[in-house]
Amino acid sequence: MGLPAEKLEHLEQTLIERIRARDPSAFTRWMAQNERWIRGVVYGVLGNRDRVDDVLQQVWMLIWQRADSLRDVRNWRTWVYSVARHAALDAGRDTTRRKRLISGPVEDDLPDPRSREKDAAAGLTEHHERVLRAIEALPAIYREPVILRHLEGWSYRRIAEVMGMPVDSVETRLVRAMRMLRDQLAEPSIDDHDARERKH
Amino acid sequence: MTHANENIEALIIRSVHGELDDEESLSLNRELLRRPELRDLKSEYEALDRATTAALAAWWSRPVNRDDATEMLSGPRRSRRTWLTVERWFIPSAVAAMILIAVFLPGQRDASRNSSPVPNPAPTVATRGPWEQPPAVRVGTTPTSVRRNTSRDVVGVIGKDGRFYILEMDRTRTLRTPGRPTSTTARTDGL
Repeated sequence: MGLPAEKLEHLEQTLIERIRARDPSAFTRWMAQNERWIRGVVYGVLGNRDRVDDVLQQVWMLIWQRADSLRDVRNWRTWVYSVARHAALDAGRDTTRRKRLISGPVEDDLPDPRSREKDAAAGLTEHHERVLRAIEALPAIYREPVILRHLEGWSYRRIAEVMGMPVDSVETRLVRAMRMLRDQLAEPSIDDHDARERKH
Repeated sequence: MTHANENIEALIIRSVHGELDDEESLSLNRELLRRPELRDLKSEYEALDRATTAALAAWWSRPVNRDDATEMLSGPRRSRRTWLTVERWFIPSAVAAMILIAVFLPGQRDASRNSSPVPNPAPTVATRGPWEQPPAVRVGTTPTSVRRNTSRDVVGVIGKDGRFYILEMDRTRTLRTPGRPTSTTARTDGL
């Protein structure tokens, strides 16, 4: 049986205080506890699995460097969300800028072979791939709450707190996102189409 | 899809996410009992919810190298190790450089750097009274030439804190070289 939510929150806030006092061991522990949802935020903003690891490294660095600027420890999740989101947006803008300068596909557009190897090693099935592609095809404003909801199992209220928006907005976005996912996954995929073609 | 159906679909999605209050649950259940197609829709959304959760969980569980981030934060340990790595090659190199400077540079410095000839002192003539025999004096230039060279020396010192400090100092050396004797002995009265 886990600790009560209030106790957990208090422990998290204590860790944040220690991070602000430049305690690397506290940061390592805090990272392990929060990596999942922060990774989810980065993935949600980027909509691209290949660059998540790189951006996440920047996010850790930024949080460590800017921990002093967090005014109210109770709002640490919103602050971390904001840092992660902006880092991912900057990475996205950087890619867009390079696309303008370079004609043809930039490095970031090409699938990272290391990432694909990791996906294969993790046992991502074709079905998983198809669902992930459908999530990636959603507009970013719908993708973020979907990932936080399904990766972390967070309530609408908690998602709203972290994203700094009303619960109603989260609800609306999730309902629309689920409709879009259903529509996308209802369509036969290209792979299915190819398989049918081969049968005929 | 009509507006009413859209509302029911929203209720179904929120129900799958466990976000309905009691009143909304009752309302939805009434609709589900009445309309089998809504039950199918609910099953569909439940399957979609499970598939989305499973796909994201599979993505999350893939191997990730978390050592890089941890390593990044261990600032003092890392900087000490980097320092030791530098120290290993830097100190012998600095000592070797100092030896080379000490052996080869003085010759070059003589010829090229900040040579400032020092004016020779004027010949001295002793004063005497008219009753005294004039002494024999040496008239002419002094037998040595004097040059002052200013050069920059680089010195490496290991401090008490274990760090290697490089000190740069301007040092002036005075060189005296023997000159040809040009003087003649003569008496001041011309004898």
